[in-house]
Amino acid sequence: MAIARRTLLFAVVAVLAAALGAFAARWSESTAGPEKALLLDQPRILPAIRLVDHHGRPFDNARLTGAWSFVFFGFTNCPDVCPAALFTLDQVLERIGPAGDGSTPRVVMISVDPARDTPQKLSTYVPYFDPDFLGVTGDMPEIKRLTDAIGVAFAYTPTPGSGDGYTVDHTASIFLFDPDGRLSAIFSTPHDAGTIASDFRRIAGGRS
Amino acid sequence: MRILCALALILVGCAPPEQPLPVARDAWVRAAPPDAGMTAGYLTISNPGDRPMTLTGVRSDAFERIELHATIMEDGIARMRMEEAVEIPPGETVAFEPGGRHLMMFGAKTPLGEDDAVGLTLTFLTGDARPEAPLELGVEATVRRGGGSHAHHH
Repeated sequence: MAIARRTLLFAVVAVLAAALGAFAARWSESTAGPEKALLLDQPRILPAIRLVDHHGRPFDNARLTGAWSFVFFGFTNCPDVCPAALFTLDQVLERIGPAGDGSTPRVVMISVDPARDTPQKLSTYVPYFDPDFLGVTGDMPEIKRLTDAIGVAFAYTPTPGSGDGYTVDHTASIFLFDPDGRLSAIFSTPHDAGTIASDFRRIAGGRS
Repeated sequence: MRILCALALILVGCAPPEQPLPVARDAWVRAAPPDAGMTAGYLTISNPGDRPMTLTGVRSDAFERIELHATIMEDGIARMRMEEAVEIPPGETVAFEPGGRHLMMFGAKTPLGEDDAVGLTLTFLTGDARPEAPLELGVEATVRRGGGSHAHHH
């Protein structure tokens, strides 16, 4: 059952990836596209989000508007991929600097392990990488609704013999949302701060 | 005996063993939030000998427990898996690096800050002795902030 569900999940992700690939191929026919990021032909509107941030405040769709947002899905019991992505995003913001109006993109890590990642846990974890970074968690059905809508897969894998109990396999891409809170582009791994920053300039410059 | 020889080599040098020692370089530990509970360590290990060596474990006075793990990327999905041991073939170098093999380090005993030094002890089987005695190698790692790429400099 679990395997069937996982297979289905991966099938859904594969179909989404293929669709995004087709969009990317169309985009690459024009000239000023990003170097590595997958830019969506049509920004994707999200379903209603009802989550909670690391201050305990509601995190809804409006929290993704008014500025560009880099969103990463991860978990705090993750020593390699997640902290690397957050350090990289900190370097990306340094390279981008403030926009003409003084605004900077926001960075949000949304937990795919809400059982362990309480707002309290996120409040001591996420701001370590940058005081402005925001951690977000919530009820599993709400997280699933969001991850399904944007093509993020995750699954729990027991780690027998390890000190950890279980680990979370998860999509490690970084998602870029436009100032209207719509999914605009996807950065797949490996994440390089210089490439992400220059692609962001091209994307934001072409849209704002 | 090999342990004594390895220790002696570190201190004053001694007669070269039949099999050269593994060489560990560029060891670093990623700075982590104070109560993260875990972080990752990275290094490269070379085997200058002509027989395989196997890294069977790593320990440190600074951490409760260290495991060998690997992040495997498949279709954009990161999966983390534990490895019992890592073989370093003769003449080759194995890299533990962000997004790949890493030391999964649980429970820092004291908060670690940037530039702090962390002593690691690597245990190898070299296939030399019967019954085989493990060989231990001391390595000093530096704590630093590090992303997914260009975190590793020569």
